Amino acid sequence: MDLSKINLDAPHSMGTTIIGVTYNGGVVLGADSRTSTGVYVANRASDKITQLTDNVYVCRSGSAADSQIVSDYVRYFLHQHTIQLGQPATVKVAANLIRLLAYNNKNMLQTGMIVGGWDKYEGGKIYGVPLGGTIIEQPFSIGGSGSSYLYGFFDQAWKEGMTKDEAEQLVVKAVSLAIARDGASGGVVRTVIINSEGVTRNFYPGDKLPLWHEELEPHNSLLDILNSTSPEPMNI
Amino acid sequence: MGPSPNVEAMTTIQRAIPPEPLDLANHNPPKVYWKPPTQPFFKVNFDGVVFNDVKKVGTRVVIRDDMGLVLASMSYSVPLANSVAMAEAIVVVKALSFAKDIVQKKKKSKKDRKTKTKNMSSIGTGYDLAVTTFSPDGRVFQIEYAAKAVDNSGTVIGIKCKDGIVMGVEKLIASKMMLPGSNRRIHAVHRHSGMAVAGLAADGRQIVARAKSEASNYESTYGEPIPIKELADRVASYVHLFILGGYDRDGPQLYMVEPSGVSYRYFGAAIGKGRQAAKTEIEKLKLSELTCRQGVIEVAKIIYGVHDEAKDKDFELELSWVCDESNRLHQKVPDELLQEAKAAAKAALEEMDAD
Repeated sequence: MDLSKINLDAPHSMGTTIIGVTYNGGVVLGADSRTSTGVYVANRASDKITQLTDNVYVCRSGSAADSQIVSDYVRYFLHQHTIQLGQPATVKVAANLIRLLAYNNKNMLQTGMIVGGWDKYEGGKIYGVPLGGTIIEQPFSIGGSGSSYLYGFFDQAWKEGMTKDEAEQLVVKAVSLAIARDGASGGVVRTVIINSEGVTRNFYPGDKLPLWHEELEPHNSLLDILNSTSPEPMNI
Repeated sequence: MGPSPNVEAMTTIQRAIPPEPLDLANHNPPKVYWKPPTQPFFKVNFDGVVFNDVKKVGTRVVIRDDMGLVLASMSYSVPLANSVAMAEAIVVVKALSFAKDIVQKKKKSKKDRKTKTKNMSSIGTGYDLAVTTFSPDGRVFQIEYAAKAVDNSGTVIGIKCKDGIVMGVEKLIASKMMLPGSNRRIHAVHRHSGMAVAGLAADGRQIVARAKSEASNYESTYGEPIPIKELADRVASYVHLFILGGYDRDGPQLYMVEPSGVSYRYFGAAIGKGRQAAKTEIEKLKLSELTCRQGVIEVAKIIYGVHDEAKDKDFELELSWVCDESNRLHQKVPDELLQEAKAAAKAALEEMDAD
C-alpha cells in the first residue's frame, strides 16, 4: 500500500456500531472499539460508552470530538441539575439535554448518540438521539455505520422481557456481526449493564468473539492461513 | 418580648463626709468608672446626703439601661433620722421602691411601648424605603409591610388529602356589580399544579406569570414536568405570599411561600385574615384518611366558618383541586360539588349558631 496516499489529516471518526437494549429490569449498552482517521485505525480499543451520571451512560458515534464535547457539557449540566433537585437525574432529562445541544448546533455537529440508563421513576430506558437532534424513546436502538447490517437481525432477534444475560448475549452477538461486515467497526466489544443494583462493565476481546461467514481464525503465519479450512457458518 | 426589666441594684452608698481641703498639686481623682449593665438588666444608682444644717436627708436615684440612657430619675428629701446608718437605710428603701414602681409601670405600658417603638423606628427613619435596607435591629420593614398586606387579605387555605390537594379562597367582593368568577385568586401554573394567592391580586398575577414561565422553561430544558418542590423554590426567590398545590411523580404536594422567601411543604396551610382560626380547624382534620371529595367540603366549611360577616364584605368561595378524580390535573372543583360544599358549609354554620 502506498502510505503517502493515506490521508492522516482526516478528522477522527467513529465509524461505529453502537447498541442499546432494554430488558426486564434494566438496559444493556454495547459498542465496538474502532476509531478511524480515514482508513487508518487511530485507536483499536477506544471506549465509546461514556458515563454521564451514576445511572446514565451514552453510546457515542460519528465525530469523536463532537460526541465528546456534547457528552462533557451534558455531564456538567446533569451534575448541576442533580445538586439542584437533590436527587439523581432521570434518563429522560439526560436524553433531553443531549437533544437540545444536538438540535441547537445541528449545523456544526456530526454525532449520533444512544442514551441509556435506569431511574426510580421509569426504570430502564433507551433514547436514540440521531443526527438532526430528534429524540426517540425505543425498546432498543442501534446506531453508527455498522447498524445498517443489523436492522433485520434485531427485528428477528429482539424479544420483549428478556433476561439480563439474554440481552447482553444479544448485544455482543450483534456487535460482532456488525464488526464482521462493517469495515469501519472493529476491535473489541464493550458492554455496560445498568439496573436498580448499579452498573456492570464487561469487555470481550476480539479473539473471544464468534467468527462469522468467511472470517478467518487467528493464525501465526501465512502458511497456517493457507492450510486452514473455512469455519462452520452460523455455528454460534 | 422585650428585655425583662430586672433591676440590678448597685449598693454603693457613699457617706457625706465633709471634704478635705483639696491639695490640687497631688490630687488623684478616684479611678472608678460607671459601667452600663448588660442587655436584659437595668442599673439603679443611688446616693444619700445628710444636711445637718437643715436637718434633712437628700436622696438621688437614677435608672439607666444598657446603652447608658437614663430611663428614670428621682430626687427626694426626708427629715433627718436619728443616725447616719438610719439615713442610709432610708435611702436604700427609697431607691428600691422607686425602682419597683418603674418596673411595674413599664410592665403595664409594655404593649403600647411595643407598637410605639415599632412606629418610631420605621417611620421617618428611611429604613423602610427599600427591600434591600436593614434596620439597625436587623429587620427588613418592606417584608413586614408585605406580610401586613397579606394578613389583611381574604383567607386562603390548602390541604393535602390522601389522594390529592384541595385549595380554597375566601375572595372578598369589592363591588356587588362584579361578575361572579372574576378576579380569580386561584390560578393554574401548569397541567398538574395551581397557585392560590393572598395579598394584592395584581402582584399575585405577576407571580403566577413567573411561575408559568419557570415551569415551561424547565420542561423545555429537561423534557419533563417541573417537580413541585423545584417550582416552589424558584418562585420563592421571586416572592410574595401564596399557597402552591400540585401533583408530580412524587405524589401530591402542598407548599406555602412567604414574603420573606421561605418555602415549606405542608399538610395544611392557611394565610390571610382568618389564618389562625383556619389553622386550628385544619389541625382537627384527619388528612391522611380524607379523600379530596371530602376535603372540598371541609375546606368550604372552614372558609365559611372564618368569614367575619359583621366586619367583612361579601365573599365568593373559590375552590380548586389536583387529585386522582381530576386525573392529577389542576382544575376548578366541578360545579355540582362546589354547590354541595357551599350548602354543607352554610348548614354547618346554622347548626353552630343554633347551639
